[in-house]
Amino acid sequence: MAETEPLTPGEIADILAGLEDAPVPERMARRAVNRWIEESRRERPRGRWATVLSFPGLRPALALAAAAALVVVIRGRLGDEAAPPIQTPKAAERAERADAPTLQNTTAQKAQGEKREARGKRLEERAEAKGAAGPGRAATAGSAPAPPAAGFADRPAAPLAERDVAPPARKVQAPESAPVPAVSERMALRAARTPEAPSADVAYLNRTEPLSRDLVKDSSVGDARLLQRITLAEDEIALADLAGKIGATTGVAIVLSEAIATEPLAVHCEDRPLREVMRQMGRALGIRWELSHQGDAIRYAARPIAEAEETRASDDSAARSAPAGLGGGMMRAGRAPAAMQADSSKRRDVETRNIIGSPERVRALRQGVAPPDAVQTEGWIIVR
Amino acid sequence: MHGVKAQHAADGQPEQTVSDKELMIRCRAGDRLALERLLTPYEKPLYHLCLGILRNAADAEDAVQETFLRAMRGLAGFRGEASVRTWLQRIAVNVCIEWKRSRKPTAPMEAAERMASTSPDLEETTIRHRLALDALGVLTEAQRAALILKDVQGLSVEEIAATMSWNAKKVENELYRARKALAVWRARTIEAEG
Repeated sequence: MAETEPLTPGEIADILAGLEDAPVPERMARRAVNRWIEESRRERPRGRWATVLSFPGLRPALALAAAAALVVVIRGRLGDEAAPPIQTPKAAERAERADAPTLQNTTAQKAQGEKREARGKRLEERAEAKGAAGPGRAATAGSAPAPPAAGFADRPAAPLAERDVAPPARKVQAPESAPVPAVSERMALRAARTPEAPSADVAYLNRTEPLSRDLVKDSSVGDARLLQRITLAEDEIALADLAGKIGATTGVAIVLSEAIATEPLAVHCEDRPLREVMRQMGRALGIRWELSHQGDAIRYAARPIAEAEETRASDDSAARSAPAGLGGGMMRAGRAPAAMQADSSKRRDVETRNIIGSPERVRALRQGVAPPDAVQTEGWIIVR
Repeated sequence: MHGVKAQHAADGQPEQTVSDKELMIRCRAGDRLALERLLTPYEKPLYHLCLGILRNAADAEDAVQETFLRAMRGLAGFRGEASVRTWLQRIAVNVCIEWKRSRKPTAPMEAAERMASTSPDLEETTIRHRLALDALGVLTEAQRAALILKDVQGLSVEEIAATMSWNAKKVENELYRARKALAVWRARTIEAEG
């Protein structure tokens, strides 16, 4: 069979012309458009992401991812802003006890109690003398006027009426002295001097870096705010006023019982950690620092040791087993000022920067008259 | 780019020519009238193309409907690199080939029966139509599409290549085979008629 030649385009066009004879259905485009509009109405317009996220298998994974992200965000915020308050109360109490270990010495407490009573009598006499002339000085920080000093003398000593001497309500009535520069400013200066190795507390005070977790979790510190360094130069200041001043400078709220709020105190120190200053205050005044939680905030309540002992049976037994006299651990650690006077003058200058105690005796010591019962410990001189 | 004569009879406005490009812009904005204006001119060639491939009038009508629907769904993705006609023909060929593979073949005589009630010259038209459908029956779907696009609708080899997503050489080869197959069919038909 001979090979057939392909048809020409003209011949094919003739054959296929029959296709165009077929009637074309009407309005196919309009019907298609109507169908498309109906489809569009049935299906709500959805974005590409909405389509992807609507896949059923993805929903549990998305929920888990969202929960994990939420936890990370919350942890991050707590870590930056509320790190100190989230410490457990027990841990904070342990840290506070570690800060004032020598205050457990009940022999010293008894001696302190006796001295405090004597000091109270002196204050009463002074108040009576002032009461004849006019209204007495405010006993503690607060907006309410202070009761007359004579009334204060009649008041029972035991009840603890805590007064929050938080910074905003404070009005320092101590004698005018050189203004204490803000701690953050001094820390910033220190950081500027040694920018390559800023200490953790500098970073904390200046908020230039997030607070180190090691610093917050340090059990020996408890509250990182206590690491702030302060400088004090007070010849005579009521304990309440001093607490207010510390609170205004460091943000640490201190609560005092009325029994000790008006205790006069002289404090001279330079660039010392707040916890060290508070510990020496406790030694000088015979007070014990206790933690007081108010919501998320931690306050430090100062109680006279004798008063605190009434609520702590365990401390009573410890007091009975302690050696008599002033030979407590703290006192044994101290040195007599006579020995101190034998040291070089340079060393004495360094050591006498940190003094705390009775205003009259501190004044005498600074004038060169060493009180016989002054002790030296941890770079401080304590005169009661 | 083909232009479309759009007559605003309802508005009483004069007849004006709107390009496919302008209509596409209005279609993307959701203008229903623009959609109809864009698609209506392609009803007839698309129907003949689908009829030639599917050899069934009802299927061809459905295929044209499906082609228009797919075009409207893909309106946002049309970049305008090809003409609207090429774009629609490509969709139509794909729809027809998909349907041909998935559906049972339908008797081609349906179209001739429907035509019989409308055509004035019943006998001659029916014979021509039936002859065309018989001739296309010896070709593959791709060959039918290429042949209709080339010899009925007058597209160039390059346009057919773009429509079918082939290269020009393949278009020429398929056209040659189709013409040769039709030559064989005609020879057999002539022999059978005696």
